[in-house]
Amino acid sequence: MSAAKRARKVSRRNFLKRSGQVVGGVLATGFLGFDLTKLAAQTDDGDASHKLIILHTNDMHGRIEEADGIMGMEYVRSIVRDFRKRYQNVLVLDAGDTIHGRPITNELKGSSTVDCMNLVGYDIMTPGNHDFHFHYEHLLELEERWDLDLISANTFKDGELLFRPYVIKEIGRYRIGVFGLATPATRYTTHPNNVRGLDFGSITEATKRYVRELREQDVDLVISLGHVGFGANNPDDVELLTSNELLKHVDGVDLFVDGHSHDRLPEGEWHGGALVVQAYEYLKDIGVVEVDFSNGKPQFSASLISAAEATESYEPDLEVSEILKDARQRARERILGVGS
Amino acid sequence: MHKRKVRFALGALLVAALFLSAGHAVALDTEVGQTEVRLEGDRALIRTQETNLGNLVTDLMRAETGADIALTNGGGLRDSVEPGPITLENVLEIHPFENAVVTIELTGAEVVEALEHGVSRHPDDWGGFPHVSGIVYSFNTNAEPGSRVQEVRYQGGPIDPEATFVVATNDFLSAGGDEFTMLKKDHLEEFATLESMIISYLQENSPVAPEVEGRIVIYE
Repeated sequence: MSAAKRARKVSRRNFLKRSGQVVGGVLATGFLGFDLTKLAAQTDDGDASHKLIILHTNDMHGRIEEADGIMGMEYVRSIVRDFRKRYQNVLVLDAGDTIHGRPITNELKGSSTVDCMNLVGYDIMTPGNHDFHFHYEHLLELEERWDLDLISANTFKDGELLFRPYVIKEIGRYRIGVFGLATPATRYTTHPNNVRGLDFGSITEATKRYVRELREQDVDLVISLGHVGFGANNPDDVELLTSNELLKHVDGVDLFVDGHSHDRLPEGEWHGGALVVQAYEYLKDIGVVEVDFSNGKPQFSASLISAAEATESYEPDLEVSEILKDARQRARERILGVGS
Repeated sequence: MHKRKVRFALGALLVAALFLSAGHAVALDTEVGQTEVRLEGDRALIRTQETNLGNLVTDLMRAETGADIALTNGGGLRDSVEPGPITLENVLEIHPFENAVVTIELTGAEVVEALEHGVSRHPDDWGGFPHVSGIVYSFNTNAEPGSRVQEVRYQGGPIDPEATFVVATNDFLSAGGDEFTMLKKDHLEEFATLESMIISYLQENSPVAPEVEGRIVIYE
């Protein structure tokens, strides 16, 4: 698709999203500001205006329904709502591989997963290799349906970035910079036809460039949101750095919210001055990172809420249940061949 | 892209036709077969060792295509099934990719090359780990990637590197997926999607009871 044609496809909402890097600032100060004192009174430890809560998921692979050991989107929404009630500064991220993997989302080409994520109120996601499963042009169509920002700092088409590289969220009194990274292996870890014409560039170069750009804009925190993977490097390919290896070569990242390797890091791990977190797979866990800014330098504490803990402590969200019920019916009709 | 869409539609029609002809309502919980044993597709296992699900799937790929050898990637098999009825949903969870089964022609040397590539990341749970039918192979996980495969046997003897074989695989691998560049070949034939093939095999051959039988031997 030509750039001009692509530009015509961009909806007004997306035009607004793309036209400035800063989003959410007006909402955060104007809307949430209305109720700040009341919200603060409800937090666990009094005034939490100096705290930021980051909730994160990765590699759900279409597991949007509750199942054995899997909390599903009904509980994700209940957890997110609870945190948003107790803390005024909350950011909800996903590190990729969302829309594909189960009939309830495959048969609907991902739209049911997008609808659930919209209800939950996800803020930002970076696409994983399996998010290209229905072809990258379909991912761009879904981008219009998603309320969140899709970001990737190293996904290119014809030399231009396919998505915005980063977003700066103004949350409470803090400016939070989040940039996205895709594993360069994306070019052959989905059917190569799905990404033909795209280039997945060096994550080292992208990190260096966008950390610098974000720092120049005076952010309080730099988060890398990567579908990159944790652990040992692929010995065959020096470009396929894992998150922890990448962090040996770059500076300025505070927090790396990772996915792709399906690792469960109960308290995160420190590598090269950054905390790396990953919340396992299939919505078996949801990650919670608490950032405390009260001493100038941000202090981190990371944990996971497991599916068992979620189903014990929370009620399923009934609006999500409705979406799932409807999606299951439409997926059935698709299989029967009577759906659209 | 266009071609893939058409093929997917055909796959979906095939699924519907199978059930309508059998007089059943088509729902995700419709039973398509039976298994007497747990079909092992857990990520940590199917990406690192032989499992009975890998054997079942490659055996049926070979049987349904008439190929000499079948090879598929562990990353394309994504769930387990407990003993008892197998539902349509179970099959769509095992293989959610709509990959077509294809046949290609490979020399024995290219088969070995594909196996070398497939075990190069072992013991990482990498999706390229190869499940096979028609051959057995052994490899040393501690050897250097590229020289791990020790023995490949076809019909009871060492595979002839110069002989040619009809190999059934999926169109993800034959497009160079997971960097299996040696499998990028013109297709001899294209068949149904793997999930359709699994369903039709299960309908004719249930109950199934595949076993781990020493097709893939790992030296440590």
